[in-house]
Amino acid sequence: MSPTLLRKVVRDLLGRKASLFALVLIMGFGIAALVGFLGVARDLEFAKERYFAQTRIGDFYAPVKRAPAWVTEELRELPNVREVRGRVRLPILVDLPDLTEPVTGTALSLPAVRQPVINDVLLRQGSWFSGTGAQEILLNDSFARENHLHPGHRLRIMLLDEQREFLVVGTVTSAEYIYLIPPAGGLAPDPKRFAAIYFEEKFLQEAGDLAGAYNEFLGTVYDKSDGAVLPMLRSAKEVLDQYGVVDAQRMNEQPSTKFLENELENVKKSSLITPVIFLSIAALILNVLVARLVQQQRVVIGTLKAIGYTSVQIMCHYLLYGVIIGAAGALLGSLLALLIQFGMLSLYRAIFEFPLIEQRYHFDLYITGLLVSSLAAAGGTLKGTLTALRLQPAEAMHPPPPERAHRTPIERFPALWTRLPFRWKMVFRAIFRNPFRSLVSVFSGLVATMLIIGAFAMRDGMKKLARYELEEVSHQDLAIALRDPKGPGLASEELQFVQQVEPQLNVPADFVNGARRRTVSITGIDAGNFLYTPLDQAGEPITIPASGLVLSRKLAELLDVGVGDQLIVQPLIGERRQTTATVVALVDTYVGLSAYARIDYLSRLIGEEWAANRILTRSFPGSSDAAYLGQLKEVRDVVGATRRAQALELFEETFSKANAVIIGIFIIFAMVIGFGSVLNSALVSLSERQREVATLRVLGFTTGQVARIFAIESLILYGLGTLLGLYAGVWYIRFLTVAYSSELFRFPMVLKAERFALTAFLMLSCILAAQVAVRALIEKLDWLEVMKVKE
Amino acid sequence: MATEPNAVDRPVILSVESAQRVFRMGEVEVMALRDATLKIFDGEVLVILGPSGSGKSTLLNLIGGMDRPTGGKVLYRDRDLGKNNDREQTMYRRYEVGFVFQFYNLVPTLTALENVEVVTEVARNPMSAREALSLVGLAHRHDHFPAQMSGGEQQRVAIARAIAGNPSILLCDEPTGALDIRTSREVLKLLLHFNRDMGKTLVIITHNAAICGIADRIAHIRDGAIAWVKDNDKRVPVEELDW
Ligand SMILES: Nc1ncnc2c1ncn2[C@@H]1O[C@H](COP(=O)(O)OP(=O)(O)OP(=O)(O)O)[C@@H](O)[C@H]1O
Ligand SMILES: [Mg+2]
Repeated sequence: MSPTLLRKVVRDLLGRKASLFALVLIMGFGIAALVGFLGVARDLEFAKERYFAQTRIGDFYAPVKRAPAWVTEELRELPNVREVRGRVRLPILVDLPDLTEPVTGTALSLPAVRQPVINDVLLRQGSWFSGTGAQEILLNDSFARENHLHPGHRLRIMLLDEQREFLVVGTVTSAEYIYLIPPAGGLAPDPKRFAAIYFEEKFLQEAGDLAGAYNEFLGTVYDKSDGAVLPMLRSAKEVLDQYGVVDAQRMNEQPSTKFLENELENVKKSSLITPVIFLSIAALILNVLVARLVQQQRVVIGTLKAIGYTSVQIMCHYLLYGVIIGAAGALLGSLLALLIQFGMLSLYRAIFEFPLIEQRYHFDLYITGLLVSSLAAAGGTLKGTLTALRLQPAEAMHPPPPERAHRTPIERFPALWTRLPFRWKMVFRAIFRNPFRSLVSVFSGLVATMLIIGAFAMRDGMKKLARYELEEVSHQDLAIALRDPKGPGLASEELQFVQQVEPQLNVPADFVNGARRRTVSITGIDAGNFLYTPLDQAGEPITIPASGLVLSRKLAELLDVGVGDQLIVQPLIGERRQTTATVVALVDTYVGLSAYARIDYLSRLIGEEWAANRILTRSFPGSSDAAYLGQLKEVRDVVGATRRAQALELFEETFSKANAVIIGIFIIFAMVIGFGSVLNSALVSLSERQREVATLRVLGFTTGQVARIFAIESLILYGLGTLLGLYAGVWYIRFLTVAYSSELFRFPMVLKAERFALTAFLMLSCILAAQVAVRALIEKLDWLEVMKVKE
Repeated sequence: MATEPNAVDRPVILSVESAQRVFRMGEVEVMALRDATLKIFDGEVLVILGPSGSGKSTLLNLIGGMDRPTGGKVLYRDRDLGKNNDREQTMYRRYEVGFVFQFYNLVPTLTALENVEVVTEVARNPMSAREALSLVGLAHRHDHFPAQMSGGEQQRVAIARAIAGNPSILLCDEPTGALDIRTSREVLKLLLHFNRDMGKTLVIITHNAAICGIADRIAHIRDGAIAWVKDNDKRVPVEELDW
């Protein structure tokens, strides 16, 4: 590359600062999304892997009812099993003085003497059990932190049916509990109410009626591939069958890990979708710019060819414009990526319980960003470069053949055309003279609009998701979970102060259809349900048929069943008798996988006449829950209570704010596309029509009058783009809801008229903001000079 | 018909033999060059004179390797330019020819010096760009952009660019077409200087008969054919040219 021509490139670019700025901005944002999101995914993955390694997270787990300790050996004998550890896991209720309701928790056993075990913990504060036989516990660190508990504090805990006092000796973290959704369910992590508490193994065995036995096995394997793990899990289930196995699954099926992996996946999706959109737009806009540049430099190209530059040299010369813009975009993008990383990792630090999420520099990603942006930019110069390549020197010396005065389609309607003011005629001529550029303008307007509307829809979808789960479907004040299914008459006297009571039965079960299987909790609903009402697509409460199962659409999809199909159902509690059940209806739900049945039908599936293990209650309006909530802490069989209002609040606090920030960023991104492309297209139009502008100025037009012509052009093209974008937005939202749909979350499709209006308004602002810049340039234009110069 | 001039005891550098150039524009064929036969001798000053539209530029493009004839031949030192591939044509232009255009065709975003460097960076045996600029008397303007220079100065930069690559032949298409008479004289003087002192073959095409005064030989082109070629009997010093 000739250094002199390099200087020409630099000067040409500097002479188009505004366009350059717009392009580098768009490109930079695209690269920022690519590098930033991929970087975030890596940092998160790295933190996860490190944490998992530090705490020796197992590869599989299998909860059982009760199995003698020696079964551990039997499991260890299975092919592909490396190590097995048995432990005790019990539901507990923690009595926190400053909380009215009892806090649900999980008691887990650890060896009395510190030694490396599967699913180990990291000690954060205090020390390990003293081994003196005192009643000592280790607390989940975030729980301790949120409740201001420290080693030395005493805590009242209800273990099985007995409330006892324990001494906190230390706090720990565990990779099992990265995302702290309480076991009773919920939408947002709740470290204050998530108590994972560790006890000495022997103590917990005795307290849980499990002397010499375990009720959960954790294991590691040699070969982690599906082909090796799945048969092993099947054999493990067979071994454990007589001990009341509930399930044998990969560890990453645990909700905490699953949520983390779901999040990782979404970040990776974003690292693909966003850059593709941004870089395509940047490439298109660059095409317009470089095509114009080449057209302007026809004679220069001809001359360079005449004096002996090869076509390839010329091509590289124009390619260089793209590469420089690409490199600048990559640089900006890599810097912005650091911000994205910083922002998202801070968010993750708040949502996830990691000992450390490090923000690292990913140099290979910066290189990737550079390559990708250079490629996109090089692609962006294609149109112009090819023109330059083909241009014959002899031909280039001639002034370009006078443009055939294109008749715009509007001119076919003379009645209309002759009535148009001449300014509008100029605008329409300009629009149809360069259809490619006009299309790029409309398209960029469309994409920007689509992105804005999509961002709003994600936000509204998120809100709707919470409102749907916590307001539209659920109407209770409190959900009380019981340890085991109970017969009728469970509405004991503690509940006499509430207005309404509704029993539910939750039965975890394996659903099998051929090779497809899922473990889901079936919710048994009372016939006259009014506190929990699954909805159909129209938002009307559905009546659960007297027999058969109602599945959420996602679950039906995963199991590949439809209405009328039969499923094998293996309940994991009660009699655990395998039966078949018919799918009688489908419903849309947005969180997790769900299945519904009538409570009596479901009771029969587990071998009971009628049973419930969950009670929904609604208090009298205005009454305080405090009294009976407090009592619940001491009621046998109660393992937890969840307040709906508090869940909603928590969701707002955890997600809504963070979500608003992310959505805000996305909207800014989209407006950058809008503003950048409007600006660029107006600038190119201005450069093409300098003479026209100069002539008008000579004829006595004011800057404002001239600027208005360009404003009209932008308004027509981008206005059309915006309109189309509003329409395309509906499809884009549909695409997003599908793309980001997972087993854990589906985004409801929310279309709101006011969001469309706001989007249109934002786009209009972009168009007008770009006009301000254009007007300034028209003011600066030395029109006398323009008249003198021969183009 | 073309008359052979008196024998010139110089080797032929370029030979155009019944060259024809037809432009096809859709249905229509435009015969820009019908039948051009012409010899150009090494080191001579040849002025090709003809009215507008007679085919002068078309002929120059063939000679300069920017275009290929659709019939006949163009030979440069016995090499048939019509058979050159694109790369060979480019190399021919790069190493053998220096162009001077009516509208200078400088790169507007490059300074005078840089405009010359554009050539010296690819030439085989170039003079230094500064030297070329000082040869046209513009060394002091080296960092001025074209827009900061007069037409005559721009043309002198263009001439510096044309000679900087040490070509054998200078092809000038209406080099004074956009200049006033005083400036035109300066430009012609420079071109003649490079002819005399550096032995460059100088071909000037023009519709301005007055310029014929400086020629060794004059070729007249009309309707796409060389009507006649003759030696110039009445050589006029540049200072006395007038129109
Ligand atoms: N690329 C082309 N396509 C079609 N016709 C062409 C092309 N180039 C030249 N012509 C035609 O060929 C004829 C000769 O053109 P040329 O440019 O050689 O004339 P000229 O003698 O240089 O005229 P001028 O003094 O005006 O520059 C003209 O009629 C012109 O219209
Ligand atoms: Mg001509």
